Amino acid sequence: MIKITCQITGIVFLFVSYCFGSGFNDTVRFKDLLNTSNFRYADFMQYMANVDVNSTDFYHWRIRIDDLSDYHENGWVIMIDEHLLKPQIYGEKILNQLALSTMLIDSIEIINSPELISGIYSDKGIIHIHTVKPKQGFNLYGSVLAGNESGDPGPYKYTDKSSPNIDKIGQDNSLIIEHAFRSNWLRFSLYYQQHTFTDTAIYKRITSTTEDWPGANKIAGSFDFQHFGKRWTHSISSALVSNQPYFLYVDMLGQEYPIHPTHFQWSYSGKRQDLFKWYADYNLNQIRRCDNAIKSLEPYDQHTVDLRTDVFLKNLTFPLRIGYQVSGDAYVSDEINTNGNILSQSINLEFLSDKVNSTSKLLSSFRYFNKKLASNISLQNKQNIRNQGLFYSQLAMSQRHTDRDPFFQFWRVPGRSLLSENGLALPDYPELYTFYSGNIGIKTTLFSEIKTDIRFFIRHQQEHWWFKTLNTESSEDLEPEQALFKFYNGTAAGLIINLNHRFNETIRQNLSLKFRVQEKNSADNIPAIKLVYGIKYQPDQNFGLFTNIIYQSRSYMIHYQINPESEGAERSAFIAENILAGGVWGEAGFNKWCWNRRLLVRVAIQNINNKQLQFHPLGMNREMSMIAGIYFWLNGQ
Amino acid sequence: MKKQAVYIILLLLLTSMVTGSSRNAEPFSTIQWAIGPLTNISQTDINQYWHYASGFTTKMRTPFYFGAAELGVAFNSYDEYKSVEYIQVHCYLTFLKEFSILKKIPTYLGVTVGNSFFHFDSEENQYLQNESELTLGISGGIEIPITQQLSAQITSHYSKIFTFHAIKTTNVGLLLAYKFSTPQWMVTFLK
Repeated sequence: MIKITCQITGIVFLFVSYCFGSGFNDTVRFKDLLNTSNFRYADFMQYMANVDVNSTDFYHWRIRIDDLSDYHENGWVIMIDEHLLKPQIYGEKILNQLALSTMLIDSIEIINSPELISGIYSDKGIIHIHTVKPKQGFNLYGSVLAGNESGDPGPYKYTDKSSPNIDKIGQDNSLIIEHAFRSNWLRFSLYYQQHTFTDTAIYKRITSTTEDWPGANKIAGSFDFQHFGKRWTHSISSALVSNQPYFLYVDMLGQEYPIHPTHFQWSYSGKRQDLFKWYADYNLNQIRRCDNAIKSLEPYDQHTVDLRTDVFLKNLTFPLRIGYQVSGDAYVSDEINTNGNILSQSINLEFLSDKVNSTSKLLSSFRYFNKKLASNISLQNKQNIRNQGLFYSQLAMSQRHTDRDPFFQFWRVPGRSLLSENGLALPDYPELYTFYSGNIGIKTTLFSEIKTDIRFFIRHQQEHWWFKTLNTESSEDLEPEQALFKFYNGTAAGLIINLNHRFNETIRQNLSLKFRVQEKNSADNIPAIKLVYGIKYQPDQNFGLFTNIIYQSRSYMIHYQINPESEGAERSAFIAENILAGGVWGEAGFNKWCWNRRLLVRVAIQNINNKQLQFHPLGMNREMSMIAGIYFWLNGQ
Repeated sequence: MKKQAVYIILLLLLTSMVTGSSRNAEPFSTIQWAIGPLTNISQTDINQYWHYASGFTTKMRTPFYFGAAELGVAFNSYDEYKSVEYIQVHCYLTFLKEFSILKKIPTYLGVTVGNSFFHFDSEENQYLQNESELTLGISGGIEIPITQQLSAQITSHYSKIFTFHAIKTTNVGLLLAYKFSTPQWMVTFLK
């Protein structure tokens, strides 16, 4: 029934979309981050209706931006001020492995439709982080934040009611020094971040692999420089991040492993006005064993180099943007003899038609890799409706090299030996797969106070894949070299509504709703309905109260085969139910600015109704927690 | 008290604060410093093991954008149980609203958010002698003016410490309060 509904909706939708012939971007700003109970920028993904998240530890968020991909594909792109970053561990992109403080964030842009940005054609979405630009002169700022979850034993630990002492949040500290001259600025940053993993859901697994205290300790530093002349701009960004020990949950093996990842990122970009831009990005992911590890994963180095250009020819009848990207990606370790093909090239084109009331874009991209050409095409249109709103639509057909998904790329080369040790192997999979996406929506203002954005989306992916998890105690269900992955078609469709209402001078409220239907066997069904409601009361520019309520319907994790309703099913550290309960979670807090906005005090209570909150069947549960912190800006904010 | 009842009261108080229109005083224009002894009047699970020994609190109250805000710390000590004594230090922030029944005797009701730090005096397990836990509560009080600046306060504070087995306590206190104008540098800082 769902399949038929999806197909009918899809046909109608694609037709309408074709007839009217932009993508939809969500942007959150620093002030939005402050009006939540989280203190890490990566945590904020939970609040975005158009981003799906999954995590075992509330630290490493697996992210899906395009509504249909498996959480492990990691086909999306991370950029900071147009610099391309690839903080990858075992084929997974980890947002918390950036040398980035929340204080540096001006905005986070989530692009979940195909776009050509800085020479890159994104087919599975972009997380583009824009940082604040230094003002003239010297400035120093920093933050100290910590979280404390409820559920410790307290005095009862000395009684017959004793319970384990659990820590699962940690702290987040940063110090930033910058100086801006007339046409240059430079910035040094230092970070320390700690996250603990002592929740009972994962503690047993982690302590079976290490003698270390189960907590991640991230130390990072970065240096940024920018020169901006009348016509030329040059920007250099470099960062070094180390985390020891870090506990990476490997879904396929159903286990966390202690590792010591170090990431080095260096990037240069230059531009002549907005007409000609060029970029060079180098990312090194160095994975090492931890000294106190009992079980560990194989060490390796991953080097990636990306060279990109973006040329805008605006004087043509139809202005044209041409992007070119050449990427090299190689793994190095004692056990790797060959990487296979490591180079790929893509040429990306954007034709623009900009009229008074409408803007249309035709995007195309051709990527050559492993002697195969992948072609992409996308049509976007924005139409003003009598100055009352904006109608937008987008339709795209994309092809992707399977081996260019970080997940396959890793398990095909350095991860291959680990799969073999566990009696597993990658099955034959198609070198190219195709997927289609469409969005159609309207942005308008209702009753002169409610900003509205309503969007329908549909996705269809051929040769879609997911994998079965190798649970220690259920591995006999798997047939080695066959059952690990499964490929088939998948379709998802849904609706996203964003409402923003200014009640009066002091009260604002916003609501985001996502409703999605998809074929039950097309990857994880997480969740069908997600609703985020927030209300802010700001009686003064230096004080604000906020409350957020999040509702998620129940989720079905297809690759976890234990059904709680089946006889004898028992949840343990290694075996999980395949259904995550839905529910409503609330949070509240306040922000108080002091000392002419040099100081900001944040206090928030997370999961105020102390409801069971899990994002993964084998993952942590979030109890009611308190988040508190102080931000300081020498020159004020 | 049932959990749901606490949430309903919290909600009512928050609504009252948010919708309250009158500002009695300019935010941060005065500070009222209070100090006094506390005693525990509740008999809950925790009292099966430990008996309340003594306590005192000190706090500072200032007019806020709505009602008043109070920053305080309370020290509570508990007698020995199986050779373990402990001290609970409760640091809290209260948002208060005045609900005056009698014109000259103001009464206050507010919500409290804070953290309780436990220090255990125990021979065993030196590593885990300190712990902290989220604490929420409801606070009320009556203020009896003595002079323009001095007053006596009778306060009552219900708090729930969110340990695995929640600890619920109700303390009452008799405090002496002194009110003064906030120094300008402090107003500048707080604003």
